[in-house]
Amino acid sequence: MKADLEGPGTLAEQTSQLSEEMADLLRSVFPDAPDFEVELVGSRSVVRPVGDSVPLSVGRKRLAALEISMSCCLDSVQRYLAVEKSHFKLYADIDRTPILRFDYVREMRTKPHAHIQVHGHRGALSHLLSQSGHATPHDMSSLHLPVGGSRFRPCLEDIIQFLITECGVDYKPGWRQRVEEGRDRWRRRQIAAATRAVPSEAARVLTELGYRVELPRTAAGDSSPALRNW
Amino acid sequence: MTHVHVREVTREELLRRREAILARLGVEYDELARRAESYSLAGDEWSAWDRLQEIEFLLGDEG
Repeated sequence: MKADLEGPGTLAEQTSQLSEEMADLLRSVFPDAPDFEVELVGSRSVVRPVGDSVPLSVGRKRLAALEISMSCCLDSVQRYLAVEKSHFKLYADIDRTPILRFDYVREMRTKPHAHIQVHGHRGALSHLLSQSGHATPHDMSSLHLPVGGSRFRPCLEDIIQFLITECGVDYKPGWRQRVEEGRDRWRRRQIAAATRAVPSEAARVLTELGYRVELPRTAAGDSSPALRNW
Repeated sequence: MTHVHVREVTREELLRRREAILARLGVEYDELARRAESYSLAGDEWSAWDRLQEIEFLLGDEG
């Protein structure tokens, strides 16, 4: 109740809470997950694991790492924490070039705000891109695969589940429950944000479901960028 | 037990850190930015570029 009365907290408090949630999640699913650190300057903060990445092992042998970074600030009304940029990068220990990158950039001009980049090669793709005049046809990582924009992008829990179930990295007992709890929390936040961004659609669906919804006197309009940006 | 370490950093510390990263790589910032833009980073430059981007983000508030 105290938090509700006093608001969501300062940038430092909200960034710390985000870091604690991430650190707690990672420690509950991966062996040897590190502490997290937050660096603050004025109204901006950066969150990352100590040492920049989470070690990943297979059969207790360290083979890879998940690098995490989140650059944060307060939103336009200086109230809620906003992630300006984030990345989750999968590295194999035998190479310093990433394998996969899950990136998000809130202010993106030409590329998709949320995207995946794959550092790989495929002859057929290179052929296609070279025919279309692409600047780097042999580099698959120059393609930004769109993944749902700001609201529907993958969360850390999705990447964790991908690493465990698809890549076969070591995990702790009970990981699935923690991942699903975290995903539940993430999607509720994103649904709330999507509702604020497009209230007319939220009202329409709630009415359709039998809820009584009344328009406020000063109803906020729908956000065109939320609906149209990729 | 979960540990999160929170600390305030100064502009001077960030600038020193940026210089140290570039000195370790032996490259100018603009050259590294050009390589990042053209997807031609190599080896440790990937992580270094990420650290530099974080520093730029934190410094951006000061400008």
